[in-house]
Amino acid sequence: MSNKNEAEMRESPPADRARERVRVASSVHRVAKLGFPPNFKRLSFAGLVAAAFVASHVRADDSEMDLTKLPFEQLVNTEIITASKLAKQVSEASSAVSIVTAADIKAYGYRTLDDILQSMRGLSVAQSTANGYSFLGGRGFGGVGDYAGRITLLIDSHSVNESVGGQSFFGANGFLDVELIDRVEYIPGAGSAMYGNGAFLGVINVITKKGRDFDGTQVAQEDGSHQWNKSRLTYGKQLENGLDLLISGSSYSNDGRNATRYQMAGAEERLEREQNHRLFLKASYSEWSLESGWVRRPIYAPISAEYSSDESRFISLTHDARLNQNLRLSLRGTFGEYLFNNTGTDQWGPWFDFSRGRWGGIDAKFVGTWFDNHTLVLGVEHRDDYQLRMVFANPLTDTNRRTESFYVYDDYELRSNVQLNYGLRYERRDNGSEIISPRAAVIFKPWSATVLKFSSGVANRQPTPFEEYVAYIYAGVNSVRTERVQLNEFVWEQRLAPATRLMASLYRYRTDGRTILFDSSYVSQKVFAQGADVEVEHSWDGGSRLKASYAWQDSWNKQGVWMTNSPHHLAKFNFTTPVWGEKLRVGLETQAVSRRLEPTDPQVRFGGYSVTNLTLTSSHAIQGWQASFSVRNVFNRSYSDVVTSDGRNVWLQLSRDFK
Amino acid sequence: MMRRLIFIFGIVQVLLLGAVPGIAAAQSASAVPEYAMKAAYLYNFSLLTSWPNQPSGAFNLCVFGQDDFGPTLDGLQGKVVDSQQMRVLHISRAEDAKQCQVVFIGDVEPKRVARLMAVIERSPVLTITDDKRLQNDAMIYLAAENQRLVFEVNADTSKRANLTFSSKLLRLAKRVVMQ
Repeated sequence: MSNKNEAEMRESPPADRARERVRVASSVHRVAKLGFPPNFKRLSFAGLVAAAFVASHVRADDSEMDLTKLPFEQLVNTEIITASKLAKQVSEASSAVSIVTAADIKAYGYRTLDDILQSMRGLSVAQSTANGYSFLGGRGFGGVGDYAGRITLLIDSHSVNESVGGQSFFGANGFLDVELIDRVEYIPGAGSAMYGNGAFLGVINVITKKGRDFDGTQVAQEDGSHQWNKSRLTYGKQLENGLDLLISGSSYSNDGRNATRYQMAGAEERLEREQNHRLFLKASYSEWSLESGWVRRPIYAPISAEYSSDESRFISLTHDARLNQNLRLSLRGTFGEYLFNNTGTDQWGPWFDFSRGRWGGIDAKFVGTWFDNHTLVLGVEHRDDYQLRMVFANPLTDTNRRTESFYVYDDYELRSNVQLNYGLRYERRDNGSEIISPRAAVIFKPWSATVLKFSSGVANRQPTPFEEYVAYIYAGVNSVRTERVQLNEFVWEQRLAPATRLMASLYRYRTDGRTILFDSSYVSQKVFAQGADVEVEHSWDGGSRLKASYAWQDSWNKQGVWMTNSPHHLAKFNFTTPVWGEKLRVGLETQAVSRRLEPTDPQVRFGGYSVTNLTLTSSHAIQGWQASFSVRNVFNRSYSDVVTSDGRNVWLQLSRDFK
Repeated sequence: MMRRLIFIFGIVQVLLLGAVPGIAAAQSASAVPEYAMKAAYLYNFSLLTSWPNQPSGAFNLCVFGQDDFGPTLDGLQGKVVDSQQMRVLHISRAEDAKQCQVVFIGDVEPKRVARLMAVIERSPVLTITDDKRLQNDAMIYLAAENQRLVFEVNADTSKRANLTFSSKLLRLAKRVVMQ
């Protein structure tokens, strides 16, 4: 392959440099294959020992004392044993929602949104240290770039996907420091009619903390392997008049990660340096709230270039109003911008890639409760991508697009234990292209501890500007097909005990017109996916928690060929317990992934692997101080994913609160 | 492979050993189960709040949605509040809330809560919750913090409902939100 490239490069005119830049931008680089068999024995052993812990656990006795006889002043100073509690979902969804809370983020030492998603049922994240992007894989998608434009990342319910390629960023190029996150919810499937074009295969809803959760200033410093270094300053407070304010800034750098570069001349080792700067602001008062974020992430000496940078910003203003007793309105105005820069040198001299997207939008959502047993939701959205500029060496594209959307949705309580959700979304682009996505679900509670959900729907997705650009450059194609997925899902949620929850789901997806940008060509395919997953969660009095999940998935195209980067088995295990109150807490996490096909070459298989992470946290052992020490990939497993893993990572974070 | 199994086993043994002192410490004489404490707080909130017109009859403390109290709340049956006998009721329909002086909102879907709030809007019903999603909507929000049970008061929601809190209650609150 490299010889052919060399020959082509020598003979072809500089105009083809554009094709080469686009090929590199849209493909992955090969790595040496290392195979390790999946180690499920170890996983099940850990599970057995955890079960032994459950059996030997002594439950706290209920107090016989009559507390109502004690003065209130004494009660507020009395120590309590926290009751076992399971996290409750915030997102409105008829699928099985995965939740990771701020307490989990702290207990398991998650450093980025990648780490958080990696712990979720049915999801796998391949973090590329090479060019600083991570690739999310899940139900029926997993190829490099596959998730872009098909998963919507929401921050406090508004979408932060960038407009050029529909990407959402979960690493150092994302907006949020994980310490600002209150919870992350992942809704697989086409979410609901409420979420737009990019919510094709799922929605990730990140809900941020409020100023009052900090109640003062917090300073934090992190250091870790590969010269990981991050400093953060956060101020959050709710003032006497009710204004809630949160401001945070951080700066991060990570030197010395190995990036192996395969070029025409052969393999080349180089050190890569990644940095970022972030600012985040959130203010809310009465019915108004304002949110704004900025992140700039430069990489020096990444694999594909000499310098690469992602910069994103957004600002959003929301007003929630109660128009009358039966009608509520939520109005939001948003502005966003994404800037991408990539520069390097080749045999023709210096080159640069550049893309810039700027967009603005207005959304209005009405919730009406005029009819008994019905909750109606009507939404109108206008989105203007007024600048979409892409440059790959030569051809400059400067375009724009406008989209109008309308959705209507009803929640109908047919009986006290039967609920129907149904609705549809209509979207129209300024080029005349229209899509309609209907969806319906039945939620049935045969007994108080059991919930059964059946849902079915069709979701459509317009091609992203980047897809249209590449299709035109390569195949001379003027219009790219709309993708269409038909989804069917069955979910069973069961409360096994007051603090034990079981969740199982079965699903089947069928995608038509799946756009695949494969190694500089454009292909439109039928893709099928089906799978089953199960998750168990248990919480003990006193603050110990356990979560274990297993997902089986299979995806193939019309020819029956197994899709790339789509492992058949994914297993996750999380356990955390206080060892000395919250002054010392342990968090143990193991994730196992089975074999899968290399994204660009179906002849190559990546081996299965499992990774174990261990975290120790300390809260307020000394007043105002919190510390966290984490070892990721404890057993130093070497495994190949989109790029090779970076071995065992050690990480220490110290933070101080000033209230 | 064997070494790794032993390593994991060792870690979990440490956890087991480490967890025992944690549990033992929590079972010391002074520590109280969370929901028993919440029940006591509900009693005290009832004592320290004034309702506009007290109809003669029972003082109804209602629980809406999932009840995690177990037997602890039943201990409040018959206690005297403002020379009335307290009754503990479980309600599942929003309309039933109109006959309550206090409604504790347990684990309920947000939609059902919206309906409840619409029904009792401006009525003198004290709403209390421990559900973080309703932190801004209920008049009193309970949360566990640093092994203590703390509470927040939404002063304007309660004012709109013609309820008055005693200064003692406001003093003991972690925060009083007014706009």
